[in-house]
This record gives sequence, C-alpha cells and structure tokens, in this order.
Amino acid sequence: MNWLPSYSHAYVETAVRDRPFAKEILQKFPKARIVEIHDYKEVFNRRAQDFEQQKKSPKLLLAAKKDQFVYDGSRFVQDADNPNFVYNALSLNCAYDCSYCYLQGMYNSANQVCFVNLDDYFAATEHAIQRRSFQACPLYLCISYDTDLLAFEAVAPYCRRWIEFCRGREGELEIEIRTKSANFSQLADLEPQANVILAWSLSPESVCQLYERKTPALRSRLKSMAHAVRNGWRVRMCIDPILAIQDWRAQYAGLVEAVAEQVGLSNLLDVHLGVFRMNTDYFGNIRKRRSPVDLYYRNWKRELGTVTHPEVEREELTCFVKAQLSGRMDPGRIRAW
Amino acid sequence: MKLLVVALYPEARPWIVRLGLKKPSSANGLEVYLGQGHALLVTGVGKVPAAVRVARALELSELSGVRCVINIGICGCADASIALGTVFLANKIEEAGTGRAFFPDMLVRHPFLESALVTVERPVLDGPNPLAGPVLYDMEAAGIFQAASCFVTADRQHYIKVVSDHLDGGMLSKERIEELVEQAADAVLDFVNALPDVSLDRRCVLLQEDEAALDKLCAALRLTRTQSVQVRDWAIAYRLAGKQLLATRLSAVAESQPEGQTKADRATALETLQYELAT
Repeated sequence: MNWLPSYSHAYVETAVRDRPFAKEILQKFPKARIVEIHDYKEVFNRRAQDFEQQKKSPKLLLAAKKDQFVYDGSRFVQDADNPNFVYNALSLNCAYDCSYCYLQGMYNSANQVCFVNLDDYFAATEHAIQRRSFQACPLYLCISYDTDLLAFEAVAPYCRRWIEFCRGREGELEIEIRTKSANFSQLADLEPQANVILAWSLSPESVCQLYERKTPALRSRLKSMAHAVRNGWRVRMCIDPILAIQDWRAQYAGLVEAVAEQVGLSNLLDVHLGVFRMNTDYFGNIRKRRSPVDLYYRNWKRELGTVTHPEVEREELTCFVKAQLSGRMDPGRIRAW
Repeated sequence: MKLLVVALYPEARPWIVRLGLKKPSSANGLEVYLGQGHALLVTGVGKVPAAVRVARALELSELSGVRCVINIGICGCADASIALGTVFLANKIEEAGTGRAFFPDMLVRHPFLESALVTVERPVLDGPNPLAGPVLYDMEAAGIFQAASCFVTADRQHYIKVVSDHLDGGMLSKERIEELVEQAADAVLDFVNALPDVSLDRRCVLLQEDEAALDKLCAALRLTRTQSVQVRDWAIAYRLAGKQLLATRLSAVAESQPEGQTKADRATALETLQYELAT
C-alpha cells in the first residue's frame, strides 16, 4: 500500500496556530497540509478509528492543553523513591510502536498530539513546586511520560525548554526525561543540569527487533547514552519491561555486558528494573486493536486490575538481571518494580 | 468489498457501466448495485436520506463484506479559479447545520487536491468568493460519514468530490453531471482499486481446522467460557510462534479423554495441554 508519509497532515487548533511553539513545530513540516480544527479531541477522541492503520501514517495534532498540567504519579510507574512524584502530558502518543506499550490500549488514536502552551505548564509546575507535600525533597516530575519526548526533539524541542526551565531550581525541582531514542545529540550543546535525569530504556537487540518497532537499535541507544555520560549528565538505565523471550538469561546478561562495556555501569546514576505490567482494560483494547503478537497471548496473571507475570516468574526475571548488575555496581542504586 | 455512495443516478451511471454492476432482485427498497468486489448505493439528495440509506445498506447481508465506503459526487466550489471538473479528496467535513466537523483519516497517497468540504442543507448560491479558498459544498457527506462510522473506521472512508459549479446557481443537466463524473472516473477508479481491502478481524491467525479442533476440545473437556478463552490464547500463541500441527495436538487431547472422566482428569489434561503448547 502506498501510505502517505508520517505527519503528512497537521491538525491545528485555530487558537494555537499563531503561538510561537506551534509555528516552530510546523516549520519542520513545510509540506504538511494544515487542517484547522476547533479542539484536538474532535480528531483524537473520535469514535471509529483504527489505531493500527493510523500507526502506518500518523498525523500531527497541535493543541492547547486546557487543564491538568500536572498529574499525581501512577501506580504502574517507579517513583525513584521520591515522595513528590508527579508527571505531566506534554505530548500524547509516541513516535515508536512497541508491542508492550500501554498507549495503544489507552488511546483510540495513533496520532501524535503536541501541546504547545508551555507557559501554562511552567506556571502549573511552579505552583506544584510551592505546594509539594514534602518540602525537604524536590518535586520529582516525569516529563516524558505518555510519550517519548527526546524521540520527537528534532520536531518539538520540549526537552530543551524544560531543561532551561530547570536551571536555578535545583533542590526544588528534579525532572526525568525517559527515552528509547538515540537523540542525545539534540541536547549535546547544553550544559549538563544537576536536576535533570536522562533515562534510557534499553532492551536486548532481539527485543528491539521483535517488539520495539521504529525504535533505534540498541547500539545506537548505547552510543547516545555514552555521549550523555561523557558530557556530564546524570544518566539512568531502565530495563523495563524485562521480557521472558527465548534464551532470555543470555540475552539480558548480554545487555548488561554491552552497557558495562559501552557506557560503564559505574557511570550510571541508577538502574530501574521492571517486568511487563498493564492495566487490564488497556490490555483488552490492545488485543482487539492490534495485529496479534505472541506477547498478548502469554499466560499472564490478572491481579488487581493488572495483567502481569505470575509472581514466581516476576521474581525470577528481576532477580536474574539484578544479579547481573549487583556484583558490578552498588546494589543500592538498583531499583526493581 | 468497497461501497461507492452517490446521491444521484447520473453520478452512479459511470460506475455501473465501468464496474459491470447489477441491481439485485431484492435490496430492501434501496437503490443498490452489486458487482465483483464493489457495490454502489444511490442515496438521493440531502444528508438525512444519505445517512439513513447508508446505514440501511450496510446492514444488508449482501453488503456484510464492505470494508470501505467511498462517497463520490459533484460539489460546488467557492473559488472560481478552480476549474470545473477538478477532483478533490475531502480532509474535513463540516456539517453546516450543527457546526460539527468530521475527519476521514488521510493515510494513503492520492492524486487529488485536498480541501475541507461543507455539507449544507440547501444549495449554496452565494456566487464565488475569492477569499474563501477552495471550500467545497455538498449536501450528503456529513450524513454519510456519521452513518458509515457505525460500520467502518475513519481510515476506510473517502470523500471524493468533482467541482461542478462555482455557487452561481445554474442548473446542471443529467448529462453534464454524468460527463463530470466520467471525466474523473479513471483517476478515481485507480485510487479506489488501490485502497486496502483489509479484514476487520486481525485475530484470525487460527486456521479453520484449528477452530474445529478447538471446538471439539472445549466440548470434550467441558471447558468453561473462561477456560475456552484461555485455551484459545494458548493456541494463538502456538500459531504465532510458527509451530505446526496445532489441530492434531488439540484433537489428540480431545480424543484421549477416558469414559466417565472426572474433574481432576480434565484439569490434568488442561495442564498437560498448556505445557505441550508452550514448549
């Protein structure tokens, strides 16, 4: 089939068309056809959409977020032991297409929404900093949550803006930018920031190929991570989800080895480990919406509204990877979900 | 199957001829034409008749295989610099009466111009407006979109419009309408034929013989609904792993059940099957 290129069309809320950040994004797509809309929800939330087909040629939606600029942390996410854990939604959906990703079960649409009213986010974050529960700890904000911001940085430079926002706010704000991208080069000219954590999600190359469509290869991610370390950034490694693929022990041992060689385990701020877990409703939606992938038909356990591994398997997976890391880095810097 | 939807018979005639469509003996009072891989519906003028007839047509058993709805028809255009006969694909459909907007997904390449299309209650006779851009006007698309969305997703709906006038109120003869559609027909047909005719059920990884063996197994082991779903998942995972002889394995378990089996026998058989399919 002759698909249109990704982002061939930009659906732009009339109210944001003249905002500088919207213009900056649209400049990256000079050939995109602009369709004016009143509210992004009339495109993004409409019924009768086919996520799988849309993923073959996703469109860009530029909008203003009207409310909820800061959310309290989800039970599915590691909070890095910070009691002031919050996240925001600067963009909805992701340029990548991972089989295990909950976004495909959460949203009806595969199109990418970019909220362009950054000033409103900054104001809300200022407010959240002031009223955070534990004043002794900084507000811990994940900004790349329902998306992969660094993957989209060349188009929408959110990370750069937030890193700039973080300057001078050490002790009161800490942000995590999680990514699977190999796009550190987009930030390489910036001074490293002590209250910014760049977190890379890594998987063995076989998992990248099988379940992480459109993502960069492991070697590219490692190269990007090593570049960030060299430039003095605080870098986190996330191996989440650890998947019980064929020969998984050798695959994950190989992954740890590759990180040790190319990035250096001692150079990492910390490591987050996790296993597959997903809200049961999202999981059901994915099974209905997407072409079948063996992951969706495994013998998962359903408990408390979550689809995950049976406990024994869960333990086995995390303990194994933890053991690979333990002898080579401070175990206190390894956190498992 | 692809369903072409038009408002008027002169818009239908070029397709009936080109695609060799025939009127079936019974179509529940609808003006439907059927052919190999294509069907055509004539709705009449206006968004309400169009919506009602599209919904009724898509409920016909003859059209149960429709995966794609393509509205083809003439339209008015506010921009006089756009030549009559120009073909557009609508990327936005506005319903003038309610102010609502609908968006067919623009996923596939096409050779046409694109524009917003406004569905109005009565013909617009304002004359050309050079400031309006190529805004198009018709009387059916918003109704068709809303009705068709109950049956097919937005990526499987396409709204192709041929400019017939510049809102100057002149009457169009049947021959002229047919001529305009005929002129666009080659390009439109190339586009329609290239559209994917994908199945809506992507979960059909199991073969017919697998399905039969599963039914037999569920009956033999007297599986509950939940257990049946679980076994089906194992079977799908087995197929996705590229393993063969699924039906044989399932049948073997079904046939090996002893007379007067107990609940414990069935539980053991299920456990064994799970292990066998996973390894």
